[in-house]
Amino acid sequence: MDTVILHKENLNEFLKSLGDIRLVAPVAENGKTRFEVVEDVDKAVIVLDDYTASPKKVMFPQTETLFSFKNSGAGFDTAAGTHPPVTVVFGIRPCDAKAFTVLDPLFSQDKEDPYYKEKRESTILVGNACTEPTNRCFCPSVGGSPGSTEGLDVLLTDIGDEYHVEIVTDKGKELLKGSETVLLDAPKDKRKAKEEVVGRSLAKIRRQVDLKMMHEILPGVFEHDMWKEMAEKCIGCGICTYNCPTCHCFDIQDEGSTATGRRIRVWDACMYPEFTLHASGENPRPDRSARLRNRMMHKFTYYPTNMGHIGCVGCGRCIELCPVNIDLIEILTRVREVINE
Amino acid sequence: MDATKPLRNIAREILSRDDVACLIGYEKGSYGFRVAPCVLKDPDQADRLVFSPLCVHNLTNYLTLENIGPLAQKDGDADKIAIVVKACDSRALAVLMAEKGIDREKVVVIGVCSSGVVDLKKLEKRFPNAVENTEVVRRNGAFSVMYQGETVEVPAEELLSAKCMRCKNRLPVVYDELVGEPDEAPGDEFADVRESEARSVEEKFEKWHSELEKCIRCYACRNICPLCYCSDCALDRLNPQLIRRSVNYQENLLFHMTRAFHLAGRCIDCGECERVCPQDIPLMELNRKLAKDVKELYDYEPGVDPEAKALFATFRPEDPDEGIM
Repeated sequence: MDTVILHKENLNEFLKSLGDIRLVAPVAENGKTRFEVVEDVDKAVIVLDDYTASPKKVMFPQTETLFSFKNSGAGFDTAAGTHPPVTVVFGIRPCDAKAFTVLDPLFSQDKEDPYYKEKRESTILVGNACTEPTNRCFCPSVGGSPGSTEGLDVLLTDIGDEYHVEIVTDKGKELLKGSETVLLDAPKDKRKAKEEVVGRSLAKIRRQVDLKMMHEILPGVFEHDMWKEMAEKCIGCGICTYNCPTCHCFDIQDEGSTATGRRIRVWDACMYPEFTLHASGENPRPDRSARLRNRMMHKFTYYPTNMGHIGCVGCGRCIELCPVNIDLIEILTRVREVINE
Repeated sequence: MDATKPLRNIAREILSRDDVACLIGYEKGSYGFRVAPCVLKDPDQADRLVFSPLCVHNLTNYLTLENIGPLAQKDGDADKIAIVVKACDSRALAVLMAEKGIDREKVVVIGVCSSGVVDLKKLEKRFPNAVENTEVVRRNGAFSVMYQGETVEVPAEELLSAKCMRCKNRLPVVYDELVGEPDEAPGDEFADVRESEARSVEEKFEKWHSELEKCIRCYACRNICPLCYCSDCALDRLNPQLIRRSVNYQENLLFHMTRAFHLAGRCIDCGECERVCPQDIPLMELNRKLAKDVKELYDYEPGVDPEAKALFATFRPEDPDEGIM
């Protein structure tokens, strides 16, 4: 792996040197940091110390047109949705980058999902290692790290006055070709500086959960009353799923009229009653406890069994944003207690 | 005043009653400043209850949620639910009762006189990354915040929830048991609404365009709202599909405007929708504008009089026409 150094004052120069490429970065807008397209590097307020935004939508937009249609009288003419330009996602956290490696097998399993694949292939992920993990973070418990390069093409680590830049993949190498003027050779001791930063970050992560054999343990508590107790306070909203970097369920809808319209896919949430509601009126997950249980089972049993990855990267957004303090760590800790009882 | 101890004593007694199925209250949360709603069934569990300025939730929402609320309870001896309410929460109860959404006889109301709850977003910004359970206590004009082993005094107005700074009455309007005595409430002159009314139409349009564009339609605002309790929300329907599933400004606008109008004359200013919004959309500005209009047009304030009929269930010949769209 190649390593170079970028002086902090050259950050904007660096971003401009990436050339004619669509840049998506965490920007402050209306009091909220969100990953948005940056048209002008000098004008945008790029926020690298905020942990709130997830760039899942870059690969998997909340609303996506699959194709549009028009009734010509003799039949339907269809047109494909738009094709994404080559995009750099700058400032993505290691956990959120890992989330894409969790999603990859799902979208390529039986049949390749062309919409996801196209964006995945044309997107380059430039990460920002975590120097100030929050009280909701628990990535080490799910095999992550504040300085992990998993899923990333390039990783920046703030080591003081400069960024330690790791070029992880060929895609990353290709991206940085035009940036030679601002990237300096890295002396050996910079590697150590990065490791120290990551070590300090790891020490700040204080929440943890023991996931050993969790995928086998969970089915054993399927019928336990704990789910009813845990879900009593759940209000059945979509905060946990919509803010999760690995949740991926979607609905498909036709919008428009019989003359013209479009077929879209749009995020759906397993916490909504409608998610499993059958046309007959039957609902196999009839209450919030069944839905909460399914969400846990899906992430920690079904998904690892079927896809080889835990469906969680330890970002803790579901924990922080839940209006009623439903806490995934607390639930999984309770599972272990129940098994040991 | 520490309400926790008297609250636990009352709860223990109520949970011992044969006619009470459960008690909805607050317990310590899983980390930091978080407090969580809880449903207790046994008198032995009463010591889990807490009450502090961190008890921000309006628990009356749970009375109408599936599988908890009296609406879902089977007839039998234990057919009552006990609930802990602050003054604002009790106004939601009053509206629910006026609308016959819940039956007064089925609820045992424990009113707690709160001197105001904190705005968690402000608190966690000022005291970030607390992991161990941490307490906040109100002492006269200040909050004492335990943070990293030290007690920090913060002037109350720096951390108070917006709704508490304009509270009209700190005595619950409905209760069977009362904990504490009410402070004097600051009162509400709709100063915030007047300020936004003064903006030009263009400014308002631009503001709400950018605010509503952020919405991700997680429906947390609707689901946390004690007065959004239709078991079959028209906005979820597929046929007719009143609101399309695509998430964009236009559909988001339709969702939020419909919801705001359905809450006109009903919203009791508990601020839960705005508190839970993961996108920080100032939803209460919409509800507050309608509350002011309702007050000015019909001299009506929802929830303040538990005997009053619902606004939409009353008609007076002298009612002005301006309220008709």
